[in-house]
Amino acid sequence: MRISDALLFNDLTDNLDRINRDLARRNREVASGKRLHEPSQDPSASARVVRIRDEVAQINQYERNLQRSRVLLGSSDEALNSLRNILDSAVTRTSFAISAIVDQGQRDIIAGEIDQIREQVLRLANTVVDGQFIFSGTQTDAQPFQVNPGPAFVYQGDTQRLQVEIAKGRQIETSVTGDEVFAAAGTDLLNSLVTLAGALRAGNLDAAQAQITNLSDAGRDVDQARVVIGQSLRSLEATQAEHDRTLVALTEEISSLEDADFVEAISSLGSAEGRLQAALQVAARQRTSLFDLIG
Amino acid sequence: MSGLFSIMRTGISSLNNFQRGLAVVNDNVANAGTPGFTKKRAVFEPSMSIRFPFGALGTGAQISQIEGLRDPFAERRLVFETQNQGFFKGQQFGLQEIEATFFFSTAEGNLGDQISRFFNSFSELTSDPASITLRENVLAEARTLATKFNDASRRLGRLALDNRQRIGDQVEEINSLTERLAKLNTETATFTNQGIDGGNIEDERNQVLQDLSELVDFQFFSDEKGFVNVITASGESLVLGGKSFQLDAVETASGVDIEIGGRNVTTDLLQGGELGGFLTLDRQTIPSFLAELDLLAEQIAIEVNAVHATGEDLNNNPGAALFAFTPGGAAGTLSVAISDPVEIAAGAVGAGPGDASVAQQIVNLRDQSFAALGNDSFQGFFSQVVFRSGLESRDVTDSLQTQSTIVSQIQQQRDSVSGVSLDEEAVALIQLQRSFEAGARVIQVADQLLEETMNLVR
Repeated sequence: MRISDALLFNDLTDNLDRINRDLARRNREVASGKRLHEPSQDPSASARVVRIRDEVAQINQYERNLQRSRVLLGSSDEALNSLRNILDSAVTRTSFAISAIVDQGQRDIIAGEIDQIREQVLRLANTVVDGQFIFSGTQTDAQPFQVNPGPAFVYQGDTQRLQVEIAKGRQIETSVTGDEVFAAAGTDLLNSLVTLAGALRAGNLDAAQAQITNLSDAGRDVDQARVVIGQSLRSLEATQAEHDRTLVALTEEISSLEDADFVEAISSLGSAEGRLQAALQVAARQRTSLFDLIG
Repeated sequence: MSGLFSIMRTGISSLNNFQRGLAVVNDNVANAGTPGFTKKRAVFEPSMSIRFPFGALGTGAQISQIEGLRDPFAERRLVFETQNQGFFKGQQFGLQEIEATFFFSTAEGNLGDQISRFFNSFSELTSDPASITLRENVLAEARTLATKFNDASRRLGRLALDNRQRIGDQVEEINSLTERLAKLNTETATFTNQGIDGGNIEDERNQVLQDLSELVDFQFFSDEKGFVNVITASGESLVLGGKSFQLDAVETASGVDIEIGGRNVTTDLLQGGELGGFLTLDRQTIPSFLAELDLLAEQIAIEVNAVHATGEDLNNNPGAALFAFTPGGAAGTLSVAISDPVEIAAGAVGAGPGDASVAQQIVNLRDQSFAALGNDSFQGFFSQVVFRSGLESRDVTDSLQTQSTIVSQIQQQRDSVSGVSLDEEAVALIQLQRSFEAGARVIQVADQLLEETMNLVR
């Protein structure tokens, strides 16, 4: 093959072009830490990255939902716990009040205590988190029980527990309704406490005695509600752990798809630089022609 | 007749020949870097000889022709392969722009990311459906989603406009090249007619043909008059002898049409040259990606609106349309129709403000498959679009690389025949110089002999 100058130069230009392109790509890889800049570099990996990024975004959202659910459930649990203790003491005080050794003066005092207990229960029933009532079902803007209800306390909320999705297709209940806890069928707690205080003041021990049953029933309702809340909390913790594991796996996968392999990138960068040096030296040396030697 | 004077005349003719030879070398050296230049060679032949009784005696040498070292086969292949190369080159810029429209690796500004965020905002709302802050957040993310769709649509629209601008520029350049080719045709024909190498004018004509092949798809043939005629695939003439025919770019509803004298030749030009690449982008590639973008925007809007309509807002009104759009151009026209966060219908009809069942149903849309999206989810469809944009761009880039290698190989083949080698020219120069010196020496000897002869008669 005859070698003409144009051939040598075109060849040289092609080679320099190729090396420089390679160099630019490697430079960008090292500088950005990313292997994948355009989908054309790896179309299927890019499509996968799009899907994984969506999954990661979803899980991050689920984790935020978890955080908020934890606050709600925690508040409910705390309120129910206090309620349970208060109910216990109400039962204890009532049992004491109806015993033979107590006189009416003491009963009146205990009736006053029961009034205070009722107010505490009312406060707990009307617990607000983030400006919303947690015991009124989905009617979160309606106070579950009026402070001065008139003839009797009437539950203002509805019977639907709040639900939040914490993982794909997995909903947890983040509240129990005031209806379940404070006004379960036949044992309306607040009204019972009103009746109880009245019975004590009137010295009607049988009527007071009857309310003890109601209070115990209410205690059972509270326990049941706490079971619901506890289940949600446990499910929440398990899900959180699941999400954390998935996130690690997804992050690893996304990194393997789009992050540069630094060792490889840097050694390739070095090799491209070396090739460029060599090509440039060849270019500089190439142009000695016979013309330089005659004359 | 071989007297001393005739020896001197022969010597002078040879000196003249060598001077012409020198001019050829000079031309070659000067054009060593000129694209399309072919190395010229002076072909010497003995000039006529004179018959004597003792035999024929030569009268020196003459230049029979100055020959261009051409490789017509390589040049022809170069034209066709360059057309293919131009086709991919023309598409590449558009496809790179398209893939960048759909995908950013580092920034969180991807359309797909925004689809995630939009549905996340509804998911977040389920955790506290009455919260005005979270409702504001839903509206903000919905607006950003609409903006992202608008931007992507605008970006593709701008690409289409740029591309049309390029088609217009390209057509002008093609017209000026065909015009030049026709002019060079006329000039070259005066040589090639007589069977003489067209020399540098022929080189120039070949180079114009070569330049033209980067831009447009055509076929060419040389006729008996020495003209190079250029026609399109269906036989429309671009250059016929000394006449060229102008291309016109005409904008229509479906894209740009290319016409010659009012006849539509677009389909002839779709397969090669940069113009072919641009036309393919204009008629196929850009509209197809824009259609997918519109489809996705429309589907999201329709589905979200439909679920939203089943709910009830904080004022106990049924859910109004969250998104508004113009059918057929959803991505470009998508907007958020609700401005008051209270109007987001997160809960079921009749349920309290704490009910998020409708918001949850909207969240659930993200995992549903839709027939209109080829039985894919929103995000799945989007990832398919990203995949396709990457695949098409990569195919074109790969093809361009392959094609460039082929072109440069043929170029090498051509250069190997037609290119100037400075070393060769230097050798030729030495050769000519020595011959010149020798010729001059012969004249000198003849002169001495003449002088001595004159001295004889003194």
